[in-house]
Amino acid sequence: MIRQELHQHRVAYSILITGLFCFAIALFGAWPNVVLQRYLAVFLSIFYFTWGVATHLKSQTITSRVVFEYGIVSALAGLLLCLMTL
Amino acid sequence: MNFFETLAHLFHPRRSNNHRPKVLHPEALSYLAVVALVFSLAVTFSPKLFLPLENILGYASSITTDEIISLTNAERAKQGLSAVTYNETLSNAAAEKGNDMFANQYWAHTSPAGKEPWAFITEAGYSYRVAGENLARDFSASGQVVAAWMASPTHRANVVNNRYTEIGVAVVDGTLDGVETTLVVQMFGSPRAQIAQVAQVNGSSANEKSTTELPASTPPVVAEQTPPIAISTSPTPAVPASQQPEEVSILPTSTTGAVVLGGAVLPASVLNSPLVSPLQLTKAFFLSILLLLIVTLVYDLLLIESRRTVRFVGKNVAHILLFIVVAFLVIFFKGGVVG
Repeated sequence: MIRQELHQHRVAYSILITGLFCFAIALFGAWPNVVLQRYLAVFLSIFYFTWGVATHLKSQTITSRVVFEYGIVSALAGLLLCLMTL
Repeated sequence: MNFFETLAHLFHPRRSNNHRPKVLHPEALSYLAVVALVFSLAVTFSPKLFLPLENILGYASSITTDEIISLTNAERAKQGLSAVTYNETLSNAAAEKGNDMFANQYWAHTSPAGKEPWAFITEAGYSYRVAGENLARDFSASGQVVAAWMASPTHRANVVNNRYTEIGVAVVDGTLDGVETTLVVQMFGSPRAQIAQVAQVNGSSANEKSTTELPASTPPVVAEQTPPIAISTSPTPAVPASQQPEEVSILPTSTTGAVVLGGAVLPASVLNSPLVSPLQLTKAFFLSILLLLIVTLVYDLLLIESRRTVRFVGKNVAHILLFIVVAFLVIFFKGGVVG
């Protein structure tokens, strides 16, 4: 089932992995500029939320609950990274 | 609901939680976000406001003046610049600046009373043509400090400025905003006499010399925001050494990081180090949250796959990837602030 999921959405997961990888590089590269790191964390949140909604829209499995879940997960990830820069 | 029922409700997909562990529900994730926010704000701001925790929270460091100077010269050498030489008067000025920041509880180039960095330099008795200052705090090693300065364009400009010939560095321990930390103050300068000598040795003409010297009335040049500064102004009369306050919290170059206690030589950082730094505490807490979520997501993924349950929820695999990357970034996040 996991393999099937990855295979069916290989383009989507490729985009996600590439985005996450680029983000990690950018965040380390931005050091010691914490303001830039905060902007990058916000960018990560937006990127992941957009990715999630777009993927579920494409597979026609979107519900308001799913959108809410991606919103919260994205916000949590961005928040943790932003708080690290305080 | 007993303890095990609650545990199952939180972490095991079943009817009571709509076949999705309760901690993965958006409401629970919101709760975790609020908890993380409150924890982080408490660790960051409570020592500043009402609860000094200098014996518990703080940044232990192994920074030494020797290493800062040698790393600075290594960076200059990479640019083909000559090494800056150690100047004790500049180091005294840097130490005085560090002590002043702790005494008056500020983190800036200019003190709350309006005292500029070059005032410390001239008061120490250093007569300069050009001078500059870099600051750093909350770092644990000398290499990190210099790397952070080199990563910041404005600070880098000071490190690789070919107009500086001398350097003074102070590594000062104290409590800032309720948290024990180490401040690094790096001051650069070119003494008036030496500039003239260099010009003579190089056989520069009077015109060439005048182009390199800034007029005495030139106002201090301060880069944008919280930058290192490069200043050129006419020095004020020097303060005699005998009038300078005694510095008690400086780690002098000659005794870098070592004190004698009970016949044993122990690193100062071991003797005086606080239990944990705010950054380490925040990292540990955030990693706990992330680990909890990752493990729950993996467990849920495997269980739902074995049961072949169909649900309309977010993709666990994607959430796991995201949280793993965030956990990686939290683990390797580098702290420290330059100014």
